[in-house]
Amino acid sequence: MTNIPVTTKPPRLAAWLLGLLIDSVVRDQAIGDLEERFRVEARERGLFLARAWYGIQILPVLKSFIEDNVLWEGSMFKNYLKTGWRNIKRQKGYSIINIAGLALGMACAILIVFYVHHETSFDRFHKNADRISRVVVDVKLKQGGGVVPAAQMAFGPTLAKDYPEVEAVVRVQSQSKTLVKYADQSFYESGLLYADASIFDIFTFPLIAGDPKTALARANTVVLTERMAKKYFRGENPVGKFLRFNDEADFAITGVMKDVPSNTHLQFDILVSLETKFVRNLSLGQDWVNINMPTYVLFRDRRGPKEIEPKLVALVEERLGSLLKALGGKMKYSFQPLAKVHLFSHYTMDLAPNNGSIQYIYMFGAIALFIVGIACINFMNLATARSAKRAREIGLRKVIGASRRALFGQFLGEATTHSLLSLMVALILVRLALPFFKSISGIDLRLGASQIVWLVPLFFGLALFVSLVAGSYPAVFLSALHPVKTLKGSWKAGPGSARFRRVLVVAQFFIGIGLIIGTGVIRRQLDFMRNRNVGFSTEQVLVTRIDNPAIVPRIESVKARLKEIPGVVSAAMTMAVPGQSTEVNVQPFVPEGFSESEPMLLRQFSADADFVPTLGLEIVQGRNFSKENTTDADSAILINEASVRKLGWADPLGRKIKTPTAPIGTWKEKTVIGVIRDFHFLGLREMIEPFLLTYGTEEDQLIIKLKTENLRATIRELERAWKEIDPVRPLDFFFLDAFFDAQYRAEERLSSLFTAFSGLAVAIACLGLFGLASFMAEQKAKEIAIRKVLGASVRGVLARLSLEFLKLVALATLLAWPAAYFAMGAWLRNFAYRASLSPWMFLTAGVAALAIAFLAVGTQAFRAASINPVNSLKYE
Amino acid sequence: MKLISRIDELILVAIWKLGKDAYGMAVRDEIIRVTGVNWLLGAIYGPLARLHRRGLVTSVKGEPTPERGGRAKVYYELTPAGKTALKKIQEVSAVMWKGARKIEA
Repeated sequence: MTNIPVTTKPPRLAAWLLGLLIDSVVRDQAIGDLEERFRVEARERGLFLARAWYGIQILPVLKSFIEDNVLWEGSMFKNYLKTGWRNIKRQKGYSIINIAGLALGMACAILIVFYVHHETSFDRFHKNADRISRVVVDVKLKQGGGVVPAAQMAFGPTLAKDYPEVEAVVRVQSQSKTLVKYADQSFYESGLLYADASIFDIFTFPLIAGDPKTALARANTVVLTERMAKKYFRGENPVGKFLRFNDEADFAITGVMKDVPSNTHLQFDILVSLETKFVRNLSLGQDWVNINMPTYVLFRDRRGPKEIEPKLVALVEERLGSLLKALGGKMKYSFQPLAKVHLFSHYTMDLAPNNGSIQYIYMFGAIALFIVGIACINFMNLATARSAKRAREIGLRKVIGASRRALFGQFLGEATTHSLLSLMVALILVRLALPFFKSISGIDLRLGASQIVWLVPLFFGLALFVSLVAGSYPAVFLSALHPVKTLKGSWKAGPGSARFRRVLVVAQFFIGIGLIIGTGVIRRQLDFMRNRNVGFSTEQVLVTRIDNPAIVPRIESVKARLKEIPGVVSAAMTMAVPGQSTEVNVQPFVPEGFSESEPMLLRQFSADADFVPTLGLEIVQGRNFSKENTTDADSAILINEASVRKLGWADPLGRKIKTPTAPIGTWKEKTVIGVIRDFHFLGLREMIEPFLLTYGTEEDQLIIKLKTENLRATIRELERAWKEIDPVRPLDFFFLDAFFDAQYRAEERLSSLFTAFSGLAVAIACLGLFGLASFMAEQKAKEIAIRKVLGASVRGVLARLSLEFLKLVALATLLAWPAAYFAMGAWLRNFAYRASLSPWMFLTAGVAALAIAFLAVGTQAFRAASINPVNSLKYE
Repeated sequence: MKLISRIDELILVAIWKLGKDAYGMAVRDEIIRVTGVNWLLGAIYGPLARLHRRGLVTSVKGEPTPERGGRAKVYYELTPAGKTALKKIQEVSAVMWKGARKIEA
């Protein structure tokens, strides 16, 4: 028998439960008795059994607690629901305001949750998502460098072969538009992706037909998505059939896969075996220089990336040591978790150009909370403002024996009734808003059985959240009323609750005005980006790819043929058009005055002599390329003003720049013949960078400038002419202005969402103000009547009533100004070129809020002020 | 006056019998001894609290001891109303049984 020390305590959880649930009259002795007997048990049967014994002993306390409280509460709950429902019916106006406000708020919140869920679900559906990483290469050269989400062609296989931490590696590469032909039908497809056979081992892209192990193993094989299979083969089984690409090569279809879901950054329609590329170019697989293959790694476990990164330093040294030394640079491999690709990376050369941004996710999350908050405040304010009406009921309940806790439960219950009713309305609103939501957010929500699992808890969670937030203050406030005072009729809501209401109104309008200003700033920046002189003209410029290599040598005659069409102004061949960041090379150059061991990294692309006039670029010094001048193609170079500034040249014309040629380390000297005025090649998010333009004779895009008149006819003419030039491939083109503006799509979405949400926020806040004002008009009916009898004018009374609320809105405006100024200033810093914050935007937002608030309050005040005083006073 | 329940009766009788020693656990042990049914310790406090509220028992605090976690024993005794109620139920039982045949079990 051991002695049990006093410090040995009964099981903590059980003791805590006992203390919580037992009747307070016997609490201390019960805990004491049990603890004493627990020691006896522990001594006789051991600590473990004693603990079990203790747990069992308290069961009856639990049981009687449930009987006494929950069952009783349950029957009272029915009564609460009943009174709650009666109140809703009796006060139809207020109930509509409450429910409409809450429903609008909830509908916004639900839509925003959909959006956030979609954005955060990117790439998480892959079974091995947590073990997959994307390779990111960080190159540092003495003059610049960059981070690229890709690796060299040879890197992937080396990783898979030599490093035990790695289970599998896949390299992918997107392909520009390709003409795909089967039997008599052909289409341009932009969703081609080259991939290693291992893609199916790493990602979860289930095959409907074909063997995932071998589908992409051989050269010239493809796997189609279901959508593509339907498009080309309708009912037939495509496996074993052939597709012809660009009218050159046949590809065997080895499998059909499920369509790629919208929530992945890897979007494609046709997978082509990467092996195909190696058959055509035997040395390609050994390439350790070009960093242009997006590479994904499946690790054996999650610690993989951490363990392998230090080992790769040696690999860089072995493979690239001498080259890096020659260039004076450094290179480092790192791994980015797959789930972070969509929201946490903005590389200029990414497979998915429109990655999301975690900043916007937080922003919308905050807006959802704000809007629900505004709606909850309406509920709180109206409930406490109307407390005088409920005071008798509360007093009576208390006299009959309702505890404060019971009353608290009742008012929370009422809030719950409201929020459940609102939820139903909100769901209908969401259903109606879905098409609109889809058009502005670009998300096609497919709500299926798998969503129900999280949707139903989400909806009820939202309703619960709203009822707790909206109901708790009224519950505390109303359940504290003193029964005798309320029944005597002498009770009036104290100044404290009125003050709190004012604070809440200010908070509502603070948020609303802040959102209006935010909307204004976003729109202004968008307009600024669209309308700013970017240094070239994108209008009426049509862009088409030259897929047929046979056209390139005779491009001058093609251009001449096109210019015969009356609507065509000019045509030019180029490597890149504005907005195509991925087409522009960053390469080392050695300008005059620099040494070959320290080259400068500059952006460069090439185009022919017609490029500058076709896009309307301005030459500020020197001259453009010339077709007549035969040395231009070989040795001329154009630079922009930013290059001149960076190089610090006072007289740029005639200066020499060494450009890289094969093999690496050898250079070719070119002469600067002209300077182009700075132009925003990459849009306004990016600073204007130094650019070099070389004369290109073998490029793959054609730009055609058209006249404004008869655009349709001109395009028909163009299509006809193109048929003569290339009988196989029909003309496939896009307009440069639309393409260039598409890079602002994220901002456009933000702008329309902000407009919608700020409008709603202000509408909900005004709804609440309207309710409060009408309540006040009702309460002050006698005061108003007496004032009028004593000679007050309608205008005077109107001003008096309105001012009370407008003061609050004005205060909210003053508070919202600095807050919006700082928040939107921070947002604008995302852009290299930004619109200024104009004071007018702030002023307009404030005046608009005041005007709307006056409309909401004024109607009520006017009605109150114009009532015949007799009607209000005749009952005294 | 309403009759008390059987459980209340058992508790009141136990308190009456225990006299000066009637604290929660002792009451339970007495009931177990007499009835042979193993009551859980927690089951005694609900009825005790109820009797207390109805004024049928009063309580006296004892000295706190360390093995009780520093909490005092609480001793119960019957109030006059408690005695009346107990007496009444005793009488009712006796009257009920008067003239009834013996139960052969």
